[in-house]
Amino acid sequence: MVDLTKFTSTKKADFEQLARDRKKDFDALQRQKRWTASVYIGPYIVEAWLKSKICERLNFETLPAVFKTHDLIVLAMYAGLMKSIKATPGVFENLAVINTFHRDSTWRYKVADQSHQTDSNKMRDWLFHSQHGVMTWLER
Amino acid sequence: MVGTVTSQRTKIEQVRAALERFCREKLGDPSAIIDFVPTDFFDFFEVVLISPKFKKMPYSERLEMVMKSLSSDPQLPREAFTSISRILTEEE
Repeated sequence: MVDLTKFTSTKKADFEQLARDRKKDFDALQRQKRWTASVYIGPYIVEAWLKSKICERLNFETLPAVFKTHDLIVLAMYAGLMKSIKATPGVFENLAVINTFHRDSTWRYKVADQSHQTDSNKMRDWLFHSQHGVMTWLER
Repeated sequence: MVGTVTSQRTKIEQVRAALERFCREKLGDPSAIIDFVPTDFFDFFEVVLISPKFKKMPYSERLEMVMKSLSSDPQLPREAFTSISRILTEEE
């Protein structure tokens, strides 16, 4: 049985700062051509943003523990965004591929490899494309 | 509840048909293995695709190739397509 009374210690403002920090980390890793680590870090921008949005929607200072998940589809659902994401061509597709990367734990343990430049550049596109980027769409 | 299950089954059948078209016409591997993994949420499922054709293809390109094919498939209803929460691709 899920305990609905527990909360994490991370505040809404922390998640907002975390999203900005992970964006800076993603940019810095790409500048340094640390492609593999950038692929691992990129999806955390979306995760942190969605967790702050859930706090905002529920009017809670901290995140309920029941939302301790890395599943971006689930977080988008509980942030109340799934219906509009599904209705926006391009954005759902990008969220699903970012979610696939994020939930593939093998990226945590991959050694740095220059061949991951393609994956890293595509991750940037999925996150920040001017029309279909998930973060571009979320921050509108 | 029975209606929900039936609807989900229909969506999986529609996605399976679209993936069979993708494997046959774009991936060039009509014998690729297609499977589905349920999630805790009735509205979503995960797709598993296994084909040696994925060898030497960057992870991101595999996913993009599958997603672009499905999203532009006129025979696949949007409602079924947007039930895919992630796509697992394996080489063998």
